[in-house]
Amino acid sequence: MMSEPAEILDLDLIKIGFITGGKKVFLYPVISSHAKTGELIAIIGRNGIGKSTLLRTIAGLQSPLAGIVRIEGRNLDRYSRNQLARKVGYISTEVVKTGDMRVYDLVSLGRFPYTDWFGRLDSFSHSAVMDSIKLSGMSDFAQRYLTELSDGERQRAMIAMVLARNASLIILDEPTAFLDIKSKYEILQLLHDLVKQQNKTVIFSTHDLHSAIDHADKIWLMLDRGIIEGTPEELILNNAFDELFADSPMKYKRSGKIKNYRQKSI
Amino acid sequence: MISGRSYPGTSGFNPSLTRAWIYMGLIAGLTLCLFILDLFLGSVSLKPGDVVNAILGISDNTTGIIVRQFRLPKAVTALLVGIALSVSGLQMQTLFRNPMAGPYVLGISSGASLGVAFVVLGFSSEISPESLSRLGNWMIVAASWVGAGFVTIIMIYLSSRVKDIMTVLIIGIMISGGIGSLVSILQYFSNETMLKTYVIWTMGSLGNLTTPQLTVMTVSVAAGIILSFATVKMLNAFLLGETYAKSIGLNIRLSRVIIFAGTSILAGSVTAFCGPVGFIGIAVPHIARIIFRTSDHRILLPSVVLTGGLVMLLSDILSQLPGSDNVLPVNSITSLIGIPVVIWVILRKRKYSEIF
Repeated sequence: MMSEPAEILDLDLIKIGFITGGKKVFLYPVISSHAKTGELIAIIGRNGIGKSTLLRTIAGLQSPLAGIVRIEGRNLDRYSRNQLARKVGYISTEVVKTGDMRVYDLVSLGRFPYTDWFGRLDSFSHSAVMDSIKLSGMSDFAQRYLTELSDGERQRAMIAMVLARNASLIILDEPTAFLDIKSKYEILQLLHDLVKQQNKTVIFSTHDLHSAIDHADKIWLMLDRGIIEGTPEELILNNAFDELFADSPMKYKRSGKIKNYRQKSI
Repeated sequence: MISGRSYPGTSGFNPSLTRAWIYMGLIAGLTLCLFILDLFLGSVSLKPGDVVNAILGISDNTTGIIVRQFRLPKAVTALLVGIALSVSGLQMQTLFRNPMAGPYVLGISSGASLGVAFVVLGFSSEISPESLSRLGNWMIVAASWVGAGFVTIIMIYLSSRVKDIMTVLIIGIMISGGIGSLVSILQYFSNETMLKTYVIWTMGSLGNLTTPQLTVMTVSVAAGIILSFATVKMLNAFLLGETYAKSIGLNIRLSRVIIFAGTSILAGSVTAFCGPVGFIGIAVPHIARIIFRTSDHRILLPSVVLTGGLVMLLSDILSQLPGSDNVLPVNSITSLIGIPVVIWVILRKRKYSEIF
């Protein structure tokens, strides 16, 4: 099966932002981009540039102020909440720490779009939950309470919740922000495996340039003038990352080092 | 990715489920015991044999009347009040993700108190206490229902418009505060007899219900409980917070309105007939969480129903001061039971930044 991977996400001239007091507040220039099945995409950009807003817009949690977001070729507006939940998984920077909730309970909630009115899991849903827990490396923790887990384990549990609903597009907002080095690389490896082995599409935002370059298939570089996208190699060769350091004497080197070009005399 | 292969355990596998069923059985048994005990205890001491005869309908004497017309309705009322307030407390705590939320956060009790205050205090110059008592307590019930309904409709409307649930919580607290000051103005201008009637209403009472009133309350509570069982799946989703609830496919606004409607029916009808009974709704869900150690409303909701009935019956028995012929206001007892529980829960959980 060597056919061209299917296009799962299409951002068609969208404008992101919010509406306050009846006025549209645009946060960012027009965005046009797309993602294919089996791609791991990292979004990089300074704080406040609109990464979270873009991710929330893709996840259908807020509407674009202009343009069309298409998931598997269909306008996101045309999906019901339930249908969208089956396609797109979203993990924000807020990690769930509900008291008295077990990992199994959390992951079961991932089956929400499929369960009956009382939220009962049938045997298929149960298998899906157990598969997702296993896939995210949480098999030994299934009956542990969320409050007993480390930050990295909780993040895995959140990923398992998204996997349980069999979403093909997974959106994560700074999934490694509060993690220690080991957990950070484990999560990135997990995302990488999901993309390569389970054929998921993962889009995540991060401030960690190095791990984005190491792990991602593609980087969406959110600069003030718009998004530049490409493979990590292309962006390095075009010196695209230098624009991240626009107002500073720092420069990104091809070796992966960030060097200070400030003159000694200043 | 999803293999469909089977894993050990039944569908909906949960190892704590058996334990939960055992606990529920125990609590149900204990509730039944307290219900019967409640019939044996009261301000008049009766021989146990006479009470049994009265329950079986054999005796027609005074004992029969006391048991069938006073103690039985009162015990049933206690059960219903406990169930209704606890369930609505559970719903509000989950929806607002706040351990201090209870049945009255939507302003139900303050709305009811305003209604009652208007009737009892506001028109005190027009109506004499005698004519008020001739109307029976239907007047107070109606006033309380109208007041609670009015504030609740405002809150439900706001909650369907306002995006952030914390804003709804704060508006609820503010409205309650505002109504509190209106009530104190009315209190300031009212006469002593009327003031006493009002204050006694605020102390709560389980024993003032006539048979038709008890029927109305039973039907309302039953409706509210059915509605709340229909919201179990929504409540579980709300545990994740509204963003995640939305992303897993929940219609937030519709769910809020349904949950609020259920809560209002439950807490509103109880308050109308029994006054604002405090702390049961806040404390019982915490007691159930401690016993059952789950956040899953499929288990929590029936547990809260049983525990709520149990705690309220216990409060009723204690308020009768067994062995004496005095009866205390039930509100003081529920507060004295509820407040330590809430304080303990908060201290116990200080290890974690959040209970929700």
